[in-house]
Amino acid sequence: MLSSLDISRYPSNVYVGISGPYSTQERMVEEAILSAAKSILLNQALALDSRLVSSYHSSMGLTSFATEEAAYYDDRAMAETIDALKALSIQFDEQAGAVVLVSYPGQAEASRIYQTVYDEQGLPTWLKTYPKVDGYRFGVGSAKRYYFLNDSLEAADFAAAQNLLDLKTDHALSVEKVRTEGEVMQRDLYQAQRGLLSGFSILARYYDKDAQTYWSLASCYE
Amino acid sequence: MKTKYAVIALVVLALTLTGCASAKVKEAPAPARPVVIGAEGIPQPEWVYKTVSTQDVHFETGYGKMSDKQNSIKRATVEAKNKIAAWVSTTVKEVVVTYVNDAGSGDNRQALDAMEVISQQVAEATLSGVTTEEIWVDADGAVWVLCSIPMANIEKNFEPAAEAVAEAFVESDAAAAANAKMKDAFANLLKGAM
Repeated sequence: MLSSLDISRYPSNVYVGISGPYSTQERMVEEAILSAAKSILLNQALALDSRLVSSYHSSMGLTSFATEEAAYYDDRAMAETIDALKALSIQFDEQAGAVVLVSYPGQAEASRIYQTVYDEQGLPTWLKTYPKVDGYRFGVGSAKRYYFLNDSLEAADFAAAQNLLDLKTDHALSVEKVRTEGEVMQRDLYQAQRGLLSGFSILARYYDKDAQTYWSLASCYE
Repeated sequence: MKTKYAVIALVVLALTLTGCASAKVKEAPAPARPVVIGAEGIPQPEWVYKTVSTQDVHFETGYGKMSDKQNSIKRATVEAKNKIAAWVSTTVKEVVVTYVNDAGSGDNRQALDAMEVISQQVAEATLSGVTTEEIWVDADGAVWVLCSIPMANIEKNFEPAAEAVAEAFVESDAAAAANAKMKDAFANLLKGAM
């Protein structure tokens, strides 16, 4: 299924949108167009926020590692963006619902910055090492399979965006409290970080059947 | 205003000197090490066991071993950022304490109140522009990261604390003398370190 979402042979102003299954084809196409338009808006600006609390106990090891992560984008131009789209193709699939390929004339046509390279086992090399392209940063995210394909992909894309934030943070706050009682040490750490990504884009995806895990490779401007 | 700039200058100097002191360690001849190959066939980089330091950028490493690689990266970067925050906070506090003591105001109420405000501001200062320069995965699947922060960003973030110092203390001969004394001491240290 992921092959129909692969737009690496198209210029960078071509986007793909998927709907997930709905009761009518008309509704699926609407949702898929909305999804493609959302990718365009995410490309323009994506604000990320992440908070983490971890606790370490000298005799028990890591006792907690909890994160709360959020992403925000500006959807005010959604209607104009949809109006400007040119549909290239529409396909229907049991899992993906409608798969809509659109081009966005508001963005200059350019070649893709990265094409997936596969290793001897047939796995994308970006699963192990981040690609290197001047002027761009890369992030990799994964998510366990959800019931609907679009939810699985969105979760993996979100994880890739958060990975970009982990690797380069605009602002971070770190507060650590260490307590010792006798020979026991308790260390609590709170960390909050924020970043604003520009040029965010999903470049490639991979599905690991055995682990039932979806992987996304994302990039943004340096 | 003069006081503010003096404190900023001292902090920047102290941060730089800490970097220089570490650079000295880097130059020492290291014993031959066996080549350690990581999980992805990449040899262990030097920065995993050796301090990296330059005068304009501060580096810290972080380590994380969680259930998957992405979470391990998250934990490793969190640890590295926390080390950077701790380093900035400690260095800045040391400089401010020394400044206050040498200015002859260390034992009065005004100085103690100011210290409390400054320490809090420093502790709450956010880090700007922390970048993960390199990642290495060891044979056990644990992730090591090398993170950096430009000194210029730290200097910018320290401004509110320096303003607090300037507000809390009126310029005096004692403060000016202490400043000069510290600058000399730092300059001498710098000569020794280079």
